[in-house]
Amino acid sequence: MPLDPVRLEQRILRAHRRHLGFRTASGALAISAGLLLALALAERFLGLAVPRQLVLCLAVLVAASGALGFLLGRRRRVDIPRLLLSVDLALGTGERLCSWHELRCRGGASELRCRVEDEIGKIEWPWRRVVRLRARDVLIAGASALALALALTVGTVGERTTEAPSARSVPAEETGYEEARVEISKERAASFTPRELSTGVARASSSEGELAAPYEDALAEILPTPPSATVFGEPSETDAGARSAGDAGTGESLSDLLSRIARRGQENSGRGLQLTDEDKAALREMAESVPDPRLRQLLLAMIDEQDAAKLEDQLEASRRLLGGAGVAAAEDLEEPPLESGRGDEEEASGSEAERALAEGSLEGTSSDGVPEAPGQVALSDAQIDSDDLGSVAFPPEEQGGTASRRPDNDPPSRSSGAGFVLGELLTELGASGDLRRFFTKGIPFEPPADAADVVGGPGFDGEALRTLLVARDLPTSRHDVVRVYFETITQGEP
Amino acid sequence: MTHETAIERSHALTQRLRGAVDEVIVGQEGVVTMALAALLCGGHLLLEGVPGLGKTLLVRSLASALGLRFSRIQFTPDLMPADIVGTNILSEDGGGRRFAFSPGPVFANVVLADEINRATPKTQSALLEAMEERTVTVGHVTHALAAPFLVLATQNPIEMEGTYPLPEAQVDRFLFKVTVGYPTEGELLQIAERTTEKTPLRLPDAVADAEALLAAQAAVREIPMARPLREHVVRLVLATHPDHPHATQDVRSFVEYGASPRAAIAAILGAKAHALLAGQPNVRLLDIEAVFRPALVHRVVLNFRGAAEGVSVSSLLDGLWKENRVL
Repeated sequence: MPLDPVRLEQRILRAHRRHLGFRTASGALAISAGLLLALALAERFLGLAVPRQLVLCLAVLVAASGALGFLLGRRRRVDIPRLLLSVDLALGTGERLCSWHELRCRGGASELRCRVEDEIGKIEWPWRRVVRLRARDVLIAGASALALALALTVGTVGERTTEAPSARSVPAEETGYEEARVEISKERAASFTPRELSTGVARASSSEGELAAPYEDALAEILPTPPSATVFGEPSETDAGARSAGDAGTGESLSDLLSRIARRGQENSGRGLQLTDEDKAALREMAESVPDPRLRQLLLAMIDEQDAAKLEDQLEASRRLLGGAGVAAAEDLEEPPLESGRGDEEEASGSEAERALAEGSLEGTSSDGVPEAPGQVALSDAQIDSDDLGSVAFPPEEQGGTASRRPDNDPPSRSSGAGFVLGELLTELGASGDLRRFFTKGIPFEPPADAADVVGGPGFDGEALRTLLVARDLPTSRHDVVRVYFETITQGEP
Repeated sequence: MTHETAIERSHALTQRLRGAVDEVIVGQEGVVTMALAALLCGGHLLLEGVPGLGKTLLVRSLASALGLRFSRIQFTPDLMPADIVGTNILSEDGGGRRFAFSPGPVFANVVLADEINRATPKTQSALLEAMEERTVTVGHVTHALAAPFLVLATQNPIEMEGTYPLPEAQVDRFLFKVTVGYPTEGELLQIAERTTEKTPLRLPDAVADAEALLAAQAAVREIPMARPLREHVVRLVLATHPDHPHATQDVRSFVEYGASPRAAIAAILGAKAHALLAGQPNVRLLDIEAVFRPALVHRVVLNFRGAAEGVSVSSLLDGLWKENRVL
């Protein structure tokens, strides 16, 4: 069967277009792979921080450039006579094909063209030699594949080597810190009782003595109370009164003392309540040991009070402050999720002292400006975030010194002085508020710049923290750990 | 008459002509081929070689084989243009006298301009119009020459004494310039035997006529030549110019003027004729290669440095061919 030159030409053209696509794709791949390789090398050896998104984009670019190059290459203009001449020269056909094309372009069917077609029909067509890839194209394709493989290798090795040294370079205490956090989280998941939680955290902290030390040190600067007793939740007594009075023993002693005074007042109802020198000495001693300034002031006021009626009121207030908050805190423990428990808590904390306790934990002062008992908020299981080391409410005076007492005539819904608490935030931050869990005693909170107008979330001042850590001579390598800790518990809010 | 027939008949004609010439001429296949190619192209041929190499005999044999009107002009220093183109002479006719044109030897189909470089440039230039325009103007009258018209000129190497180099315009009108070389030992022996035997040398009988030759010349132009090949020829011709980007370093160094556009015409047409002589239906690269040098060698003018250093134009062209590939 004679060979049809038209089909032959089309076949050659198709093969050539495939090769053109391959060539273009090779070139495009070479460029993009080279770019990727350069980026990988720069990241690996120059320490250039390449965003993952950029790497992903480049990877997509590599694939897309190959495909697009192939498609565009196939559509490139082809000089058919030259293509046919190259085939002629490669096969030594005596330039029949390109001459046939010349005759075909002239138009018409001449016998000369038939003669050329006859000559073409006599030629054997070894297709492997008809349209061959040039050595240069093969080299480019190989180079681009090599660049791609190198980029992948360098990128992979780079990731390994950057991960491995980072794991090695992390100080042991930081690693231990992370482990402690994991352990704490696990413990929290297993046991959500605040006492057990704080004990677990404290245990973790104590097991990582060196680890916790810098943070405690830094927090000690932030807080007037020992950080170990706040951040890591040591004083997380379920009894708020005990917390107000310091440790459990102090609370019991104070409670006994107040009870004794009250009983004696009832026995001597005719003379009214009178304090003996022993009572005053005991009260002074207790006032010095209780951390709650409101309770402390109440106790000191009792010592100096001469009026029996006022003394009874102060005694009652002290007892309520000491015992009533414990009831509210216990109710907090029993209440379900915070969202649904807020209203219940308000109902439950019917007494003024309890209300003062709940609000005081957030606002720091009662509406009449009298110091209130610090609030202690316990978390339910659902509120415990695995990354939280402890969520302990604290009095505003202790909030890194940033919160201040609100003037009496200030509306309670606005921030108080330089304090960070906004009125709108109060509902969220109440004893059962959603955002309460983000609060941790000792964080150098700062209000948002536009706190007066915008209800912002809780946050911390990174600059203040850094200044503080520098002032405390905390090693620079540990700054980030502290910062990450605060970022974690504030959910990265500024 | 189909193209195929014309080509086949033309090829057959060239075969007959070659056979006829070969009866007289020993060897010199390249020269004969180029002579036949020039014949098929309707161009003029310049044969260069030292005396005694059979140039004149070749032309006479070819003219005899073609069966065309042949004339020979022996160029000498005292030859005048009128001796070539003819002149008006006073003649008496009936009752009066008048000037009548007496055609010169140029009025023939095949003109042998033997040792053309021995005449003065003025006389040499007498052939310009005839070669290019196929006409001769004497006085105020222009006379057409018969077709086909072919000038086959021979010249001794220009280095020889008593010669006048052909003007550039004159040289450019020759389609090809072929150098006739010495015969080989076997060829020379055969020449000696043919010329010294009892049978005297006899010119071949006519194997063609003017009509067949004109048909063959038309068939040559039908031979297809692919566009890339034509582009290659043009690129090569342009590369003979020193200021052309494709020019070789030798060309830049030794060439004063490159080949004229006639060179490209000569190469393309000569390649077609060469393909026809080879019985091919199309032009091949080797056809171009075969005619490239004869078509360009006399059209490239060396500069002083090239002439002083004895640079050969042929070697320049060979380098040009090697360095400029078709693809």
